Amino acid sequence: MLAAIWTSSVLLCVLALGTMVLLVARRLVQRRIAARHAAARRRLLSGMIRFSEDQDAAALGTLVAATPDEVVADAGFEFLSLLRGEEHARIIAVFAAAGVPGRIRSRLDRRREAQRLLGVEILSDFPEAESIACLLAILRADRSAEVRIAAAIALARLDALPPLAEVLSEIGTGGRLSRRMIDLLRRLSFERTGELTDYAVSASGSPFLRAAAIEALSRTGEPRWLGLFSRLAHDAAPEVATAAVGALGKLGHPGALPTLVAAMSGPNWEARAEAAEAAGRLEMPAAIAPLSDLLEDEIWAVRYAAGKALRRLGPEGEAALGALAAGPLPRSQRTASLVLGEGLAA
Amino acid sequence: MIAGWSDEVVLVSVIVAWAVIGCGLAQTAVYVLQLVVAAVAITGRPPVARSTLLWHRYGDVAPPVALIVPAYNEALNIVDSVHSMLALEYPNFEVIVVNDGSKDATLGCLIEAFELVACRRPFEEALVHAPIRGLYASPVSDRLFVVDKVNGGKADAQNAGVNFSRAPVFCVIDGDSILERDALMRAAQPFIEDPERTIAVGGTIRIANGSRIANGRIEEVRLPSRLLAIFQVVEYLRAFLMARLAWSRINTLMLVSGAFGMFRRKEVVEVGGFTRGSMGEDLDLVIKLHRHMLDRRQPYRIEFIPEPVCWTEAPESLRVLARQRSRWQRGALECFFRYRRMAFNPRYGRVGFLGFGQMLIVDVVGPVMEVLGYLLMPAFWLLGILSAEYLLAFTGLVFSYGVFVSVASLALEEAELQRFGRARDLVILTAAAILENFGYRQLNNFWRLRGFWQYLRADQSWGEMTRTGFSAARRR
Repeated sequence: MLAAIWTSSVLLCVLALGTMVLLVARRLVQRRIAARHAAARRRLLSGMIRFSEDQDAAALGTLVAATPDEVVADAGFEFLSLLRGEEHARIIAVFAAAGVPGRIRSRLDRRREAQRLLGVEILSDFPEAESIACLLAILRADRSAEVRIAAAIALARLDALPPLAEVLSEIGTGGRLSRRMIDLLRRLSFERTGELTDYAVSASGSPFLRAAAIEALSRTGEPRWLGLFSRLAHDAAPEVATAAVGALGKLGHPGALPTLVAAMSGPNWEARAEAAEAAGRLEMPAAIAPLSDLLEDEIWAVRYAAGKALRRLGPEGEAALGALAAGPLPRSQRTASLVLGEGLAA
Repeated sequence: MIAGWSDEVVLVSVIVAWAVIGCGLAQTAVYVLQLVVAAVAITGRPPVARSTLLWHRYGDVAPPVALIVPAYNEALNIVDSVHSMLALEYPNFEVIVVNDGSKDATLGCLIEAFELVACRRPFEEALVHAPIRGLYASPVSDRLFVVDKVNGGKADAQNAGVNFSRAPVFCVIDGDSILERDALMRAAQPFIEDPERTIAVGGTIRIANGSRIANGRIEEVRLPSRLLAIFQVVEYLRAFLMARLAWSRINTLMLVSGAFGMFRRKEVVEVGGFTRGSMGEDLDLVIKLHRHMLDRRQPYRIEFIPEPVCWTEAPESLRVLARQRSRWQRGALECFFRYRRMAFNPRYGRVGFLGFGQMLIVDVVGPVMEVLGYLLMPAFWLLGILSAEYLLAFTGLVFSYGVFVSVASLALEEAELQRFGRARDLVILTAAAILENFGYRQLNNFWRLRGFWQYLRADQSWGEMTRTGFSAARRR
């Protein structure tokens, strides 16, 4: 027994100190590698800056080919993210000629998720068939939902995204709740509106994604969505109804006012607050009366949104607020006074 | 019978000895569990991505965040801290500093540094707090608001900040802390990737003493020059990179530090915000959130992410450190007993069994048993009840195990963050991880016992935290 206790103690100490010795040795090796990578990074960045002046594709291509993959993926694409237009396209062409897409693709089966995510994002700069095939394979098979979403976004950038229903099925239930899905749907908002409207009205769809689809459609600002959004403002899912009301506000179409007024008296307080804000954006005096009523709402956020909307309606709205501030209803009086007094003190 | 003692004395001694050994073994099991789970969590999670990449990836979909900074007598650090917060890399955030009736020049420093002027801003009186004396905005930064209120304690100030905030997510941070530029973006990641379930996220708190600080930013990470602060560096690594990472992995995280934690506003308001007058308001809030979500049978996540780092100033005097540790102990006891109905209650699942079990072993019984062990084992040996060989063997095992756990947390830091630039720092930290077991650990237990005593006497004093300030740290 005694011997076992002492042996355990010695083993624990040896294990602990041995681990630290190994880690210190590893750190020394890593420092040398990091120093080499830092030098390669400096050379690559200088080469890219030089290229923007002399356009010597051969020199930059040679430099890129001689630079470690990690440095190209990190420094190269950090620099590229600062560029737009022709300059960006010229460097991408040099990278493609130097075999960068192939090198990035070969790193995509690595164990580390961050490396795969970065690789997928880089490939979205190379619209070649192999890259698209590789991204499709990742969308279908990667074990991480975030990587699959990143692959879908990359494919959307390359105009090679499969049908939305298929993409959602590949991403899976958990991934569909990520806010990055909002980013993905926004990328479809101009070219593939049909798929977005189909999903927005699909009663079996996830309310979060249906709301995201509505938001993506509203970014087009097209008045043709007025009817769709007005219908969806009465949807049974509160998230969808709220998004539709918000989308009506973004459209800014005067025809939206009756739907917004109806939403102001609905059971969903988030939709009521959104409707108040949207009515403020329309800047129509007809909204003053329903907005004034909302200052008696039991939820503070709704009262405040209504007060702000009234203030946004200009002198008539401010006059209504002034009357409410002097009126007999305590809730309306307090909210109106607070909204009127908001801002830097005189 | 041993050495002529009566059977009763020997029996009592054996029972006490086994109770101490049993508690020690239970603590060991908790640490081994933490270590294994933390190691699995670290190997399974992605390494740190570049800040610019995060911005590119999440910038468009990151939720608005309100940064709430309760400040009490923080005149030394507050301006540097607020500068660092305003320079954060995040697309949509505002900073709400709550001056909690400071007796020093905290408010004056802020007014002067940011040219504050009085303003009005309607807010929801969702949570109770002490009266507001004034509200200020800055013409030089539309992200900054300062709330001046009557002193009511840290939780009270945080509640006032929550009331003023309008963003769906808020982040609490101490007024003496410095956030890394991308900390908000990293902490917001779970709110982006799993927005429906994530209700709270904690980040790592690190000690800034000794580091080079300029313009409210850590320019170079260095170890503190004083041994007491170096011991705390090891302690913080153990607490954050081992314990919190492990508990987060199994969704049983009981503490999101009040020095840097991000919360969804809706749930915090629903549970009544931070409990006023609490010694451990951060622990209290997280337990309330667990209870709330489990009672409603709603799926949720309370996450710990190691990469968002918040730097804070650690006490460098024994007196101040003793007060801090006694207060933490009172906070843990207060929460354990306040929510004792959750302990080992099947309704609360893992939180009830693992979370409260760990609190019971490590925070409630642990310090008492450890000190009892230090006192009784030599006493038993002197009285001839325990043989010298076993006394030495057990003592050796206790210390070598302590060294192993401390060094393991250092190994996790090296595997995950590598924030200490020099290999020499690792050697120093390894030496500190060994040395802290001889004296510092015992002292800590003594302070925790004092906290225990203060809790039993219902002593609610907070104690002053004496700061030297980041400006002083910069000069070192």
